[in-house]
Amino acid sequence: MIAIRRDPAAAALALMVAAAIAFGLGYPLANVLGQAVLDDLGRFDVAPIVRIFSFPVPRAVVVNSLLMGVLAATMGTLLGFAFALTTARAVRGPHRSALHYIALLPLIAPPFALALSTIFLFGRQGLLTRGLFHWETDPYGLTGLLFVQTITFFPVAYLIFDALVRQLDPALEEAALNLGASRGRILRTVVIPLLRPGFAAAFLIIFVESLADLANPLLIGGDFNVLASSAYLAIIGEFDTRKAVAYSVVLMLPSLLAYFAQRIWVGESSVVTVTGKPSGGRAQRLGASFRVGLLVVTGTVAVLVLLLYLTVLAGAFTKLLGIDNTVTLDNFKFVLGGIGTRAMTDTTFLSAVAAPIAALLGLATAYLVVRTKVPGRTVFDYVVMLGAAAPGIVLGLGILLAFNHRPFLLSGTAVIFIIAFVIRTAPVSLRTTVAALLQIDPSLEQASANLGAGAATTFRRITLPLVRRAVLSGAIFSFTRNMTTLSTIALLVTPNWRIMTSQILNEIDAQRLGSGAAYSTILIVIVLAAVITLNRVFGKAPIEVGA
Amino acid sequence: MTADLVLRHLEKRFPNGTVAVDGIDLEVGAGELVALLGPSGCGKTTTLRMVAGFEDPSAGTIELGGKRIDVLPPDRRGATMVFQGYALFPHLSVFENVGYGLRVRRVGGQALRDKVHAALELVGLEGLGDRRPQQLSGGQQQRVALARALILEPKLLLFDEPLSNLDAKLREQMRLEIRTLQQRVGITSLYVTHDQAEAMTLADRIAVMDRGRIAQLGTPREIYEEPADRLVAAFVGHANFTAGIIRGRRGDTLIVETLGASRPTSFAPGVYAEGDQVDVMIRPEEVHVVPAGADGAIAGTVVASSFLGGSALYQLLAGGVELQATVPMERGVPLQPAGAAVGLRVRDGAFRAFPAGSVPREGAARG
Ligand SMILES: Nc1ncnc2c1ncn2[C@@H]1O[C@H](COP(=O)(O)OP(=O)(O)O)[C@@H](O)[C@H]1O
Ligand SMILES: [Mg+2]
Repeated sequence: MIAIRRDPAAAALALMVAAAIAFGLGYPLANVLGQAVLDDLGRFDVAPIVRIFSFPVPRAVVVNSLLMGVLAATMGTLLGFAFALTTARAVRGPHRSALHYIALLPLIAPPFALALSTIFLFGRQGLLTRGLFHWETDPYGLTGLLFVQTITFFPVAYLIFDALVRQLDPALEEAALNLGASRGRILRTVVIPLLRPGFAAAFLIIFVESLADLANPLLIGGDFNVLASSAYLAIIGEFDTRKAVAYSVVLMLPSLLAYFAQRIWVGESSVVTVTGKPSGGRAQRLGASFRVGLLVVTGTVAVLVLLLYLTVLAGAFTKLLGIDNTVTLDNFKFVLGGIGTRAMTDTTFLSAVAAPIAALLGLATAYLVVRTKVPGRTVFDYVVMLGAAAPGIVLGLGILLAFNHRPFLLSGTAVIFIIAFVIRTAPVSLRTTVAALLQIDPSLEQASANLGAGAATTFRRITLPLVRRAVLSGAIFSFTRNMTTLSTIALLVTPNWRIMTSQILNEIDAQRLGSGAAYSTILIVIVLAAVITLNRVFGKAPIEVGA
Repeated sequence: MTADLVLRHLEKRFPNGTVAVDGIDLEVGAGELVALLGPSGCGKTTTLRMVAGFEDPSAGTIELGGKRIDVLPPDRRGATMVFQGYALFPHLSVFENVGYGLRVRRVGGQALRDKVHAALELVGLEGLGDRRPQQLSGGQQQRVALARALILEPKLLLFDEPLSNLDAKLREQMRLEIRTLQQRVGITSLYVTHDQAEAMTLADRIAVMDRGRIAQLGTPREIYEEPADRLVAAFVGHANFTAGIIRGRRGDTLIVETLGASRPTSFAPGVYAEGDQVDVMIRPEEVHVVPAGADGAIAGTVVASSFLGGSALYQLLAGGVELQATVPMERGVPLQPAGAAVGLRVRDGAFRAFPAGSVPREGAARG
């Protein structure tokens, strides 16, 4: 490491990373904050923002958001824990694998898919509710929103718990059993306490994601307005920048607090890496009745997840699912004949360009943080993480405000999408690469230096090959995230570049649920095809959470 | 022997205030292997890492072949290292691992292949070049690490507890191999270990370290037979201690009254005067167990006895002092059981006196 410290390359790297984040992240967020604390003449004045929250509606929006975040985080965490416990302790073999992959399915869903099929299944014309049981239901509002968010976000908790459970040393449970503890007692006194960091991490991450979620509140929230959707509607419906800024600033606070609380309390343990060395021994199975209870819950949810996915497909291939179930390709014809094809190529192109850049930014920052002695290097870590911690809509608003005037007049160009994508997804790449770097014993790099290699050679020949997989998985994650994000780009779309998620929103707004489903299907196919191909070509990359 | 590696007043203070190395002076001759021996935490690794260039000394200098190297970056020092965990590159084959240093120096093609093969042959790994390090046994990995360090024909070879990951049997075998190889190649070496048997087998000279300083520097024999202080005595081999009083001086021996008689005793550096209390050390193999009541023997009792194969280990009590004795075993001769009364004999030259002091620290003595 001394070789690297003496290497001016580290300083140059630090400058480059600093410039990139200042431009792509710092400047946009400064624009949002600027609008929040300055009046129209540029004087410091917070009165306009404060005045907005003197009205009851915006206040209700704040309360709604926090309520939704807390409830979704609680439910998502518990469900994720139930799934992890089931796959680790209640089922084996092919059933385990099936449950595992079904639990991961919602991670690759574009933001609307689940809400859309929920409307198909449980809506006013719902296939299940009205069609099967003749119930009058209304999913629009907090209930529907929570249902969709729980299904959308529980996989995050599942991944966290799954990794932690796997790292548990079975010898501990055997020891407890050997000392006379019952199975229930082992769960209560050994397993759950050891997973405590997982509960904190899962709750906080889902809380942040739930607050930042734009698609579901727009689609299924009904009159239940939250901060993210209100900020969006303030711009799109009322052209009221100040109001959007007000909602954004208030949205930032709990998001950042929760996010960084998670980082500080839970640290790297929430990053999914498999480091546990099994010391032999067998994990203890659960008591029979508890096991059955778990299986009922997770089995039902798994069936529901599959059903929701099939419903998207069904919705895409029928005239109007639930009302006119004629099988047809019309939806696809409509989508692909219209601007759908443009949207497909545009979105894929922008996502693919941004992905490697995001991965490299993550790698550069991770290297800086873990392997150099540049003063203030941990600050880089926290600042880059802002890109994931800040809600997408806020980032989008910042980019909108920052780049629609000189000196960086970029609105309408591909560049602003790429900036948005890179800033938004570099944090995941940063986390995976930091985890990978931390696992490389420093003696490997020292051995290289000891054999006569300079810092650059050591990086190229030793470090890079060893973190290659993490960088790659960062890039793949970035690509899928870019393809499926709505909140970050919702405010940036112009006729120049078409983005699929934004098109889906338009279709659903226009009550064309069928073509919305067709779009969603195409999006899922593109993402799956890309992930599978990349994994084939470059070797298996794990799915990562943490952003 | 001309000095090749020279450490002068070397010191290391870590930012947290720990003084890991507290002023070391050491000269290693050309082709010599010096072992740094000492309990865990005494500063061995830190010393080695300063020589390799992974830590900057807080004070002092390091010279190699007459040139200051402490000012050079680690990749320019010409001192290659065998790491504790071997630090083999997991993504490179054995061949590429061994050839790494040459590649970095832009050696390629046939020249590279020839040298790598020669190096693999030197350590007895012909034909394993295509394997990954993970596919080798611990001993083989150890040899790869050795080949990788030797191939560069360094001026100095550094070892940081290279055998600590191996099991006992392999460790003994590798000790001898390393020794043979090092002597064949004739390379100046600094070898860190906390295992005194390893240091004894391998080293031309041993530097026993204690709390960041060198407590004694000498050949294995000097260290064992003439330890400079109680700590060295206790760390290298087992040492029995009894109390004694100085009754006189004859040339370069003291006359010390201990175990019921006056005995000529060699002594460690220190200030001694008649009537002083001293601690007297006797090595276990110098305590001979004879039948009780034998002429001139010290009366003792067996506390415990155990059979070790070629020898037996006795715990004995004589005049209130606990003594350990190792005695060669002869086929058919029974062990004395616990409680048996025996006689003890110790050769006159086998006593060594130290200024009376505290009992050696337990943790330190174990290492
Ligand atoms: N990077 C460091 N920072 C602070 N203290 C250290 C560091 N490395 C080693 N030490 C301390 O320095 C002392 C000597 O360590 P070391 O040289 O590793 O001992 P040895 O190799 O003899 O076991 C120990 O007390 C250790 O805790
Ligand atoms: Mg050490």
